[in-house]
Amino acid sequence: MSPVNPFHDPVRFARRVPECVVVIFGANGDLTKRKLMPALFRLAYDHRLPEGFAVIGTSRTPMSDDQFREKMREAVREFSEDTEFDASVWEPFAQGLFYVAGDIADRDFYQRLCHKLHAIEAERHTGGSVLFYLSTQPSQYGRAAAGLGAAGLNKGNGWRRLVVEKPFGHDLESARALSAELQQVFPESEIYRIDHYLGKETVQNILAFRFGNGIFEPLWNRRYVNHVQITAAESIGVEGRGAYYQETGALADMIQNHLLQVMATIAMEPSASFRADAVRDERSKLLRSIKAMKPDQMRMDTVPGQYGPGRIGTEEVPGFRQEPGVDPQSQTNTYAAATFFVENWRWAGVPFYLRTGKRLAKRVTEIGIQFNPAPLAIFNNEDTSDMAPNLLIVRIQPQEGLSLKFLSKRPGTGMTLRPVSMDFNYGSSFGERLPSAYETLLLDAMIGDATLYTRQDMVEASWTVVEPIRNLWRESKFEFPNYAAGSWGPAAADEMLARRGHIWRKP
Amino acid sequence: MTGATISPEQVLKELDARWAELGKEGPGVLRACSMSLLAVCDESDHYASALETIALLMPSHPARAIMIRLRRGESLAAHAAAQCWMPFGQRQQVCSEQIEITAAPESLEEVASLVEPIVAPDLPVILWCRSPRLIQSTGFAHLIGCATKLILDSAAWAEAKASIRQIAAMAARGRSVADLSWVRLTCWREVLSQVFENREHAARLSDISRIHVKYGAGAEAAALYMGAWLVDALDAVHARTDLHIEADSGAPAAQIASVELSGAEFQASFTHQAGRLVTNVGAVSHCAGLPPSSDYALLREELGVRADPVFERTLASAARL
Repeated sequence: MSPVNPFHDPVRFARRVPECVVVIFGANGDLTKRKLMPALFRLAYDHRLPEGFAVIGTSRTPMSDDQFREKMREAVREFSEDTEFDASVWEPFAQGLFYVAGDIADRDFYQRLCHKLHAIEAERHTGGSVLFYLSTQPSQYGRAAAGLGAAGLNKGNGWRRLVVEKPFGHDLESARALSAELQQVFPESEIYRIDHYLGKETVQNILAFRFGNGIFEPLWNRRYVNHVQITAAESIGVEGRGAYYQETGALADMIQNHLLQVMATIAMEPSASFRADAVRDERSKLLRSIKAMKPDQMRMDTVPGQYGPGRIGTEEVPGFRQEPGVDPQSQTNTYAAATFFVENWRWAGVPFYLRTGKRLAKRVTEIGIQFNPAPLAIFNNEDTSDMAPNLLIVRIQPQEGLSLKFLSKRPGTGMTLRPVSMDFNYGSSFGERLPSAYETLLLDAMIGDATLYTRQDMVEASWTVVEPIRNLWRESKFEFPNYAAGSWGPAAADEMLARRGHIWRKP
Repeated sequence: MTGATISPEQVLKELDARWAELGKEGPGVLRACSMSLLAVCDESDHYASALETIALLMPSHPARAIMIRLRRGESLAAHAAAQCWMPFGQRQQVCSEQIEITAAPESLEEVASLVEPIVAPDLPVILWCRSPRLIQSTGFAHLIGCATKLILDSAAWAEAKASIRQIAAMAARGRSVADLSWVRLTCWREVLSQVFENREHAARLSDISRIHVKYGAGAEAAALYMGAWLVDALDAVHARTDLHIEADSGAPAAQIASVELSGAEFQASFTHQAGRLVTNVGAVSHCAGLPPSSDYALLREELGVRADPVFERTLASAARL
């Protein structure tokens, strides 16, 4: 154990990045250009990175340091959505960008990487701490970790951490195998499995909202909550990734990781502290409490979908089977909905409805917590069609915020009630730009805070829930397409809720 | 609004009118507020720079800003406005509220009675005052009564030790108080702390027996804080240290010039050189940029801090030096 540093000041220093190097595998790929480099540049723009901070990009494409810098400059200019390109920030940041070309399977590549790291450590005083970020094909994760281990790069003067992007396996068995491969080289505590949903401000705010306030938690249980809806809708299609997507589908791409993690955050028990493992223990416990479905129940409580041609706004869009690279008879689910139950005292009997899909009516990610109606209706309203009970909406994107819907008296004579909404919008309270999920998560990984990262047991618990559904869907043949692009999904998903007297919200 | 007719209701009404006007513009605006920020300036202060500092702070700490300008012969007047900005890449303006109050210095008590009802309800009220003369005035006590936290800058005071004792006395009475002289040290303290993240260096902490702090003109309070903080921290690892604090006439004004930690076979020095902080530990040298310590930068940091136990300890220790 390291000696305690008596000069550490958690109030003023806590979120500052120590001297380190980030090594990105797959630095020529889309994720690096669209997300990682703009996020790192924004951290530099906000003076969050230390002076010696450096990035080594790696991929098979031969490139010089300067060519890599130029490529990243273009990427930052193009993909930084809300950060002005400031050349006076870029120039010193770019001096810390380096590149090593090589193949993940090639031993010599790791030796070159090792030399580059030593040179940077000596020149920029990075202290030997390195964050390895695997932004490659998932099939390469094990090989890359093994290569790092064989070259001794998993150990050094400072800390050594490994970040991996989803998918973490394609089923329970492969998830376990991947974890075993990674853990041969890095201890579990140094493996950071990134789920960018958990880095979103509003998802983090769920914890603040639930556990920082005293008034909500007493209502957060089966006695007051009628049901919960979690929606992650995209209006775009597969955007040229049809070939990849038809191997994955919405269930594995979204529900297995993002939406179950969001559900765990909404439903978990309060943790004893805000330490990474205390929070992750509770998330994990919740995931393990999700009731496993039997085949009969799966047929009633899960709905796959695939979009056909349709119209979004004024645009005519093709169906999934008409997308380039997609099998015209594809059985891939571009929509997935499921009803889950949590087997614990807090949530027994409360349905959690999860849905996600491509080419839905609009892009929105929201959680709706529907509370029970008042036990007695004492107001004599003729029109009760919009007498919706209390609803708490957590908006994850866009327009991050919270809304509470409740009934209020309409001005005028008589006692007429109408639903009204009380809104909290991040912008209106803080006025400040929200950091992107990748900024938050990269910063956390460099600081060593794994609270928002997924642990192996959480991955396994999610696959335990999702894998039986996936297997059943694979064995079945569906009448696809079953929803038109631009709609809110298949009719069967509406029927799934109607059986319990509920309807999907229209966010 | 001027003269005897000013009431809190009138000021709030004027504020509402501003919002009504803004609401008519295009897609409307977002109204942002996380606190009330009171800034009080007398004739010794540069009002325009305080106004600019508050404006710069709004995107990161949107507030109902209440600017109080005290000038001899000035009658009580108040004016409400909105300050808006368009966040980069967004389509909707974000606006915060600004109320400017002008008054004669002797009407501070009257000003306080106007301010109290117009602060944003149920949110923290931060009072920033740069003028040491104002803090000594009797009317100031009324203004402090409206505030949940007071931000001062002991660098502006003539007597550093006396200022620290006065600030410590306020803290001892339970008032939440911050000193920008302490905030100026964050970068120094962080660089110093990073040296001891290294296990080899951390293992030598208890060997340190001497602390030497040098400072330029106007930085005595900062030097006292630095010395007290170092002694306290080293005391926690059972290092008995001698503290020497010394003015350095050749050092840049308002800056710590150097910090040296030494003991048996261990020496670390931190020196201000042309806007950079040079660290030498044994044979290894390292350089870090010192960020600007404008009022804006200091306040931006301080407004993000709710409670600062390290400062509270250090303040109490510095007051005893």
